[in-house]
Amino acid sequence: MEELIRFLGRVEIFKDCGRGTLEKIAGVCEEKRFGRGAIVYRTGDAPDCFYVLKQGAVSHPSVVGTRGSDDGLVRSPADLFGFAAVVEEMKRRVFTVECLEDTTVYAINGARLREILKMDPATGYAVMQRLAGLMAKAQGFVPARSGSLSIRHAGKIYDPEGIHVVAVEDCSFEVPAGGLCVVVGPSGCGKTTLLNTIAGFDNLTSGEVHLDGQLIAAPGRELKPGPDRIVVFQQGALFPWKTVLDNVTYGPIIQRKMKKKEAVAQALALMEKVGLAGIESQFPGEISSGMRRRVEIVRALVNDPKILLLDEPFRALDALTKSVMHEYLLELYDLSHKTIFFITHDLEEAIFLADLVVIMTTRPGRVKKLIAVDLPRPRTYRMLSSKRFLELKQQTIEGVHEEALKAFEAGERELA
Amino acid sequence: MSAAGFAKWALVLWTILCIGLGFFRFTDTTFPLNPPPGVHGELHIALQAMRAYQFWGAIWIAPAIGLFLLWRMKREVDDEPAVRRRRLERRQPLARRLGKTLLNVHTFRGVLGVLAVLIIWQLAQPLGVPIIKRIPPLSEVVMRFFDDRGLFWRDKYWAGWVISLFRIFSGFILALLIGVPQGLAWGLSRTLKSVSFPVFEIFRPIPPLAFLPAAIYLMPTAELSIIFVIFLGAYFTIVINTINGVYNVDKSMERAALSLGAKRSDVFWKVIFPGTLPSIITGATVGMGITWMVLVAAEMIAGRSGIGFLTWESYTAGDIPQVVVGMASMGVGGAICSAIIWRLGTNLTPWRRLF
Amino acid sequence: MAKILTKPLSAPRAEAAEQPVAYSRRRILWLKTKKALTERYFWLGLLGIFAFFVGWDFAYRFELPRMEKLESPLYTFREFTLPPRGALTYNPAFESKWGYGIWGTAWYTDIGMSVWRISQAFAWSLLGIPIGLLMGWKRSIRDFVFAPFELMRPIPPISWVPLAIVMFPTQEAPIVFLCTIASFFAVTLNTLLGVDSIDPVYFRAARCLGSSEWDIFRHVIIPGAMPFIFTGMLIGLGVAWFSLVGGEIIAGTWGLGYRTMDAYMNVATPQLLIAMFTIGFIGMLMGVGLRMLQRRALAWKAKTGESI
Repeated sequence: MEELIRFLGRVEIFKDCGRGTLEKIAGVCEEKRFGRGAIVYRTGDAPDCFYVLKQGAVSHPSVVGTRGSDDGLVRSPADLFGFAAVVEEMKRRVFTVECLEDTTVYAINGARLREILKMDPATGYAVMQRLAGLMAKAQGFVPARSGSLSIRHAGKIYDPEGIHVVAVEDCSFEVPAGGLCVVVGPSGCGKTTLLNTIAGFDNLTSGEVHLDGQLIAAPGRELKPGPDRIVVFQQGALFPWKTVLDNVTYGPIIQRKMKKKEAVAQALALMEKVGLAGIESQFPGEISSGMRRRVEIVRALVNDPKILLLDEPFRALDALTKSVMHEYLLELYDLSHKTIFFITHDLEEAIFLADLVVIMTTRPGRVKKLIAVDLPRPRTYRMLSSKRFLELKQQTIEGVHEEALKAFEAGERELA
Repeated sequence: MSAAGFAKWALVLWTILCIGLGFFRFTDTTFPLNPPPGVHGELHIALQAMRAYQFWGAIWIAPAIGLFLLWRMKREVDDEPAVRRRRLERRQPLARRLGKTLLNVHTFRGVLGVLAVLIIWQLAQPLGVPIIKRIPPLSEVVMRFFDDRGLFWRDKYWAGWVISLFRIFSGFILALLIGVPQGLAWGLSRTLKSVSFPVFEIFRPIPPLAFLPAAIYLMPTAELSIIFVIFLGAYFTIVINTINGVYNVDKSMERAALSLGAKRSDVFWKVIFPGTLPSIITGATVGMGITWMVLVAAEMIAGRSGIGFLTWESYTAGDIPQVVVGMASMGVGGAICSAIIWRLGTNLTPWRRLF
Repeated sequence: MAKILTKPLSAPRAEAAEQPVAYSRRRILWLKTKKALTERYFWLGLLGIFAFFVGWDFAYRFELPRMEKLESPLYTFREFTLPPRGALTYNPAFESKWGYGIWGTAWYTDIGMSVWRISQAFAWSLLGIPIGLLMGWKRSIRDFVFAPFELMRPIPPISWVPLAIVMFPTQEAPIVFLCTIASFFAVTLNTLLGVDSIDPVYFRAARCLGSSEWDIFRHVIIPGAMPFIFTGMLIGLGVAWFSLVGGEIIAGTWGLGYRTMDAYMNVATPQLLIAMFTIGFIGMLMGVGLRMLQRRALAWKAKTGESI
């Protein structure tokens, strides 16, 4: 305890605090150990603690350390990170922080620290000031998560006066902001129809869809697809006549968000970050199908959409490439934490990727079951044989198989 | 032997007979320049001309046999339950279907577009539109066509249709009869193709019209030279399309047939030939368009009857409205012929609509 | 950070760096020629061409029926390559009777006139590309324009000649007009087909990324229709060449088509044959030139490459 108080005394921002305050702070401190590669908190989380590094190294993009540590790296003991938790009026989010070696930190609950500091007005105010100053210097905060999707009693009937095909009937579910929702169902069950409605390519005949509280789809509403809900298509829609770089910079340039040079720089930086460097001047026809899928996803991400819609994107890949692409997608998700709406017919893929699995019946498509997947993130392929995964699969496979049989007997071809 | 098998052999033998006999039988009949007295003198001449070239007339039996075979093939496909079900599913009331196709905004706009062009044409002369004003206006053309000595009532016009159509179909059918087997043979046998194809490629870029003087030398009569040039027009297109069609037949279908125990001839008749049919029909449609163009030019230059000749004659006589009538007739004729070939073709390949 | 995301792609770069021997162009050409020479089909093709010339010669020598006016291939070749009378020597064995060949001016004038007419016509007919693109872009424009277009298309171009002579009183304009009409319809129709052939998914993707209608026209419709536009240009050039011959026969002076008719009238068979083959050859050359252009413009169309 004494040691802890001495250690806290070394922390830059607490240097004016009296012994009493330091004791109280030490009281709310919690020592935590993380192994190498463990994640302290992820992008978009709103941590309620901030951390003082005791020993070890932590990667923290865009941090300005209290001792002027390297950008992106916190190595020195008594360095701080994650102090957004403390400054209460700026409810900012933070980037993922990963431990680069075995690390020990002290976690201090932000709310309690505030109380303690309030009780000591003389130095407490100065501490808060210093923290605010550090915050102002730090760059690149992730904005609050957006993209919560709400589907209420959505229904779609094709050609109501003629052949009257009921594609989707009374679907309702909610996807929280930053969540990964996967819709599973047999071919022809209306999942693509649902996706088209959310994206704005098609109209509903009944029900509503809300994005972040705003109505985006309803019967009779004008169709307006836009860059806040970008689709990654099943067959691939990279423009074959443009190079990879032109494809990726197409969105920002065409929306007049930035000039060409800026857009190119940003696109190259993002591609570098995600490991696609080196293919900028090639045409989509010259790169492999796996790379094409990755480029298409990056093309969508560069536009910073609220929600990313994926229409069976990995359907045409072989199983081995597919498993690598799953992990790739999950890493992108960790990095950006966009809301993702994913469609597939593969149950394992669904459970592996999702936070929320929606099982749809065959035509007419209704929501059969909603499963919340509580597998811990980051997910690895090893989890595919874990007990929890198999339990989840057991819960869902009966329903899916039943629907598959029905679809098979009806011999449905895919609509839309 | 089954009816279809017999028909196939009959087709081959008849074709060889016609071509072989015809080559050695030089009927040197030419048209008398002055038609015999009588109401329908010129029509009479047209019919005589057709009869004179008996082997050209007889060659029309070949397409009859060919159509019979294709009808049998279509019957086989029509018996499939999928095709029957499709036909039942489509049974919406005729009036409603017609209504939907005729009474929508797109047809309306199309009619407006045509009307606009016609109005501009009609008003070009009074308004003084620079180039078009020299063309006689629509009203004059229509009136000249239908009045007392107008072309509508004259034998010359309808006989011209008969003759032109006769030439077209003779040349076209000959192109089909020679071009399709040749294309099939070249598509199947690479050795054969590599020997003959270079020579073929030397002659292909030469427009058929450039052959006209050579054809006039070669052929015994002007009539035959015109038919020869028309034949050339369609022939190259049909051969190229047939070869492409053979190449486009999926190899896996051939292999599937072989592994199911088909003989080589079965593979040809049941897999390769039906698979090539769509391309042949495309080639035939395009070839028909080309033949019509060639016919017009050939008649203008070297003919003594027919619609093209009529147009040229009207021009040299200074009768421009009749020229316009001739042009319109040729347009209509070309469109109708192409449409017939295309319709026939799509009816004979119903599987195309399913996939 | 995680493994897959940040692992840089090394495959394309690495392969490009590993080229042990730099093959010069000359060597590649030599290797290709060697390969072609050992191909069985190459020799068979040559055999076919040789057989054709032999057959031609036989037809001349043995005076096959109806082929009295035909000349032997050698004679035609001499006509083509030797200088006209009095130019170099006075030996009749070494001169060309009609002077129609590479030494006279007539041949070059003919080629020049024909090519000049075709170029004009082709340039005018390229107007069909924007018209076709607009028709494909906006349904309303298509509805209005397509009906009269389809009604005028079946009219054979050659039948326009008398009307063209009436409309344009000059000598050259009717022929150029004729070829323009012929080529225009092909170009427009193919451009329209090209726009129709674009996979609708590209339109959706472009809309998703925030494009306006004009952006879609510029970035999706124009590049997407390019393959068909080139096909249309090739077909249009062919049809225009075709109609040029007819137009020149009927209404022209000087020009390869005119030359065929002129040679026929004067019973100058070598001229006729030379003119015919030149027509074919120039037509083929133009096609080859256009194809080279096509290959450069459509560099993105990879022939090989996995499809998704």
